[in-house]
Amino acid sequence: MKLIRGLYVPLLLLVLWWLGSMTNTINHYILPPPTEIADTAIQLGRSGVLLKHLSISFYRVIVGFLLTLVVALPLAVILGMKRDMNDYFDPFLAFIRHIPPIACIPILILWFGIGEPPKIAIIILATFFPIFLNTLNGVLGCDKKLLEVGRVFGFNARERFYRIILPSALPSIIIGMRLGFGYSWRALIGAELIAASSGIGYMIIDAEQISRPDIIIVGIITIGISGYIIDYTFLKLTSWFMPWEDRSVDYGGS
Amino acid sequence: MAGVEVCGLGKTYSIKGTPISALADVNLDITDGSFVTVVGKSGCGKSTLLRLICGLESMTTGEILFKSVNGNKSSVGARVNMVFQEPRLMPWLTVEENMAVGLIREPDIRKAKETVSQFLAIMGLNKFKEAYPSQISGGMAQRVALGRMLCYNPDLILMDEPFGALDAFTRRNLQKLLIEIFQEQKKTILFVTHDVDEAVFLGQKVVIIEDGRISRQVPVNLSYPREMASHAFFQLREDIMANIMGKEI
Repeated sequence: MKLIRGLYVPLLLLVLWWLGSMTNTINHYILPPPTEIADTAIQLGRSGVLLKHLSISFYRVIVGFLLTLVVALPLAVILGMKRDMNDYFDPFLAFIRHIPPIACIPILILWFGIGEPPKIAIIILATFFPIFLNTLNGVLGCDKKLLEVGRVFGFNARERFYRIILPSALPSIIIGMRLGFGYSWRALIGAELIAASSGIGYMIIDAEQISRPDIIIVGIITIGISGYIIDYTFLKLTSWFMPWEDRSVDYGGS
Repeated sequence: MAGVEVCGLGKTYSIKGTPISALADVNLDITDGSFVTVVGKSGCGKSTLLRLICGLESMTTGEILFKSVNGNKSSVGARVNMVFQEPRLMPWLTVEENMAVGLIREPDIRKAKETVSQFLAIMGLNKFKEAYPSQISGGMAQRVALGRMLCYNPDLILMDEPFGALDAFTRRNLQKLLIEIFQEQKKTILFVTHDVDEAVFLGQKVVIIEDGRISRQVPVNLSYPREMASHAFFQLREDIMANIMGKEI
């Protein structure tokens, strides 16, 4: 039922778009009719062009994302556990945080050329803070009362970390990863629009140069759907990883 | 098994440079296998006493000695465990897994499982062992906390108003259960409460704390299970109540 309700708005827009095209209210060059978009999508899908660009973009996102995880997760955990380390890193991180990743593209191109490294660097810049800050908050926000439970049961530092701090930070870490994935997708498309010879962003900018608005729209829709699927996957992973979250069934009284 | 001897115990906090004394010159002897209750008004220092004994806070003055069966006294080495006012369960573990929290060092997994299932049964939690803490009621959660402590098999059990947040029925049930466990397992228990009825119902000795000092220790020579409506119970209760209230007037 919820799924069906969610389809009303897109379907309504699609019908309006289609009617506008049929009655020639909408210029076909500015916005091709939905049927033409569907044809183009099928063509791009059959020829493998769409899949090629999409998989390149995905590959970049995943590599950048994994590299970020390797750096951001341990750093956040260390800073969260050793509070005095914060004094050294906090001002620098607060400065970096305010720089949009896209603003670094020119300098990254100067440094790395227009191959893969600048794109992956962009993704690292975009994903670092959501993952780092959420993990840090998760570690810092660990309930002192649960840590006391660990102490009365004689936990050592290792047990305290793996059995209390990490599981209690897990929801924040997953939220950070979810946000980070969303950000990385956006930043990557930006980078591919500016300097790339492959990827969904490149497919869009290339279509602009050969005056193919239909391909542009297929690209945009592909980005939206991919983002949706990624986010949905994360949501599913969350409930799979953390079965204790989002359950409100109450068996007993009071 | 362990008794505990507290000598000249004191704790001073510093709030914005001003020293605040929470406990001063507390001397208390808890013999092995006895059930001692501590009563007093909020903020009198009774919780601090427990937190000092289990090492969650460090003492300013004095000494805490744990007595082993052979009479040796030592400031370390006893298995002390505490039950808090709130259940403090790990939200990410099921009831069964929460019970096993104190058994992570147990090398024999089969034995650990047996221990857990034994206390699941005693606590009447078998039906809920797969549930998460967010799915059970406050009374059940506190049962899990009790069971978790018992699985750990401590020598000395500290309880900080463990039934304070429960409804009257659940509270009475758990009080009775605790007495049964005390009688069967011969544990040493130090139980803090602000409820005089509860203190007299449970304890073999009631320690009254006022303003961070022990003002009186009252032995309770009534056999378990106790009858709250009995004359002896009523007299003791009124006596202790008057002791705590009296000085305020």
